[in-house]
Amino acid sequence: MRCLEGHRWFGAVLTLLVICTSVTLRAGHKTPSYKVIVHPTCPVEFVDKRELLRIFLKKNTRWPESALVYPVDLHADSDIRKRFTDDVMERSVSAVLSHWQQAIFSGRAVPPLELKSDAEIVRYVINTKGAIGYVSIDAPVGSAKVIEVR
Amino acid sequence: MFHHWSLRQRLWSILGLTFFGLLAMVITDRITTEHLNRELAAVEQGYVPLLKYGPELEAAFNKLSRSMLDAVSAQDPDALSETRLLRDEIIEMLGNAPPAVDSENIERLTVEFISWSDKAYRLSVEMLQGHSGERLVKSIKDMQEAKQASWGLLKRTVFLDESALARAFGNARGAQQTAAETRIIFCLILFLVIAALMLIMGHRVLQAFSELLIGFARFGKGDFSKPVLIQGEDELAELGFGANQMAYHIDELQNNLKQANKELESFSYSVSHDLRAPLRGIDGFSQALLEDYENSLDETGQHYLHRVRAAAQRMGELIDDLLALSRTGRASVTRTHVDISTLAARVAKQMDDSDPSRKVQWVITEGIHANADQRLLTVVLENLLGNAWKFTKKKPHAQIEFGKHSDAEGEAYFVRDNGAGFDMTYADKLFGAFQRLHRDTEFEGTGIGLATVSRIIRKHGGRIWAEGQPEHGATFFFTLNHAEEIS
Repeated sequence: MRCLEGHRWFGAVLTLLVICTSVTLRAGHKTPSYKVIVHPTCPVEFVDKRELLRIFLKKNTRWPESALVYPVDLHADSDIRKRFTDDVMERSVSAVLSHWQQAIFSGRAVPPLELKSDAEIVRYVINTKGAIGYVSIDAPVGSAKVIEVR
Repeated sequence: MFHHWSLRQRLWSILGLTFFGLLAMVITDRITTEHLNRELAAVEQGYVPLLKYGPELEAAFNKLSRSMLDAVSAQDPDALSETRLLRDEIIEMLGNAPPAVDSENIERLTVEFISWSDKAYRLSVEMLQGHSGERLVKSIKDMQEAKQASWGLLKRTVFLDESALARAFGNARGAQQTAAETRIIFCLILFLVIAALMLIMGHRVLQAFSELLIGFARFGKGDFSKPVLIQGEDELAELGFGANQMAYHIDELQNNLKQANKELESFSYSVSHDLRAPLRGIDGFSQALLEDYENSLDETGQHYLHRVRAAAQRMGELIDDLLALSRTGRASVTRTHVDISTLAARVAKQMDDSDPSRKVQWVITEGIHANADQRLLTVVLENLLGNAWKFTKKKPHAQIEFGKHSDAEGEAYFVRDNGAGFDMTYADKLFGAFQRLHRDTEFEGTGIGLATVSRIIRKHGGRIWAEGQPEHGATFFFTLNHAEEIS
């Protein structure tokens, strides 16, 4: 009986591992690969997706306490941007770009500032009161505040 | 001043005033019409082209913007280069702006446009090259600012300013209104002035004519004592003056005539009276000689005395006729209803009785009446019928007619005979006193009868004339008063 009990243990651990891995893997899709950061003095703790969308489409230009909000995008080729755009704006990046091009030429609006790297984003957010941006999930953010996306 | 002008001058002045008034009106009308036309031309030339230009230019601007966007969207640098052509076309369009657009505005617009199109171009290049960051944001903002400036200027300068257009039309309408009002006022003033002048002149003329009418009515009645009163210095005043002169002369003539007639009558009367006495003596004593000294006188002597008596008797006749003539001159005409036919018949009978040996055929139309002096008319008939009787003496079948004759000129009484007649060339001598167209040896007579008849006829306001042919008889026509004959 001692042999059979050992196989049972091995099976259980294997099953558990499989389950854990799959859970982990699945959680890897659910878990965003970006995080949203704001200026350190920003009082906001969380933001919902709809509001985020509005901010990044420049439809909402002020924080709740009426200070100006300065959104900043990663450059168009970035994966993180792609993730962010898919997730928050539920559109493709090219659709958003097209929207902004039309807005530029028609003179209606100016698109959010575009920066090339996470580090530049972080630097900008830290140095610009009211700024809001997104970086890859594990990028260092320094004194920038991370807020939750709901 | 108008009063001192002659009628002719006044008429000409009114005519001249009318002419120049109308001329002035036409000129001012033309001026206002010109003004109106200018306003309308300004609208036509200035504003109408803008109807198209503004929208066309705006469309071109939009097309350029669109083209650059499309080039960026499609990531096509060649397409972006092509937009430069569009830009140049637009610059040309700006150069060909219609005159209604202020040239300064066009210059500014061109500058702004170039600024924007260059910035947009550079931005497009940057976007194609994938620029990003703060610099790109600045480029975007610059371009957008320039766009706002140029689009705004475009809207303000090359589009039809409706208020300006409305103003222009308002001006045109105002000009038209002014023209119409001016015309009316002008006409009114002209009419009033001319009417006033014509009334003044007309009043003068009518007044003068009225005065003349009254004056001539008086003259017609024979009253030349009061003059016609027309004051002033114009033709009417001259007319009045002339009328008064005429009246004065006629008055003088009348007086002279009256005087002459009076003298003539008294002369005739006294002469005939004074002539009778010696005549009575001549006749009387001749007769006495013939009766008492018949035996002492031989045939020749008696013949001579017969001749003396005949001559004396003839002279007596002459004197009687003269007296009759003068009496008819003094006599007045008392008109009554006279049956001329009966009168003529009576005279005819008298003739027949005076010489029963003669057989004269009398043709007297019956039922002829007239309004005349019976006594004087008798004298007329006695003379005319007596003459007819006399001058048909030599004709075996004498015919004497009396009747009434009508022709185109009117009605007249006539006495016609088929006797000796007369030569028409001496017709005007017929009615003169002592005028005879036949020798005394042919037909006796004093030559006064017809003068008397003529005078009586004239007193009745009628006229007498005769037609005749030698040896073919004569017809004597007379009227008694053209207006008042009754048959």
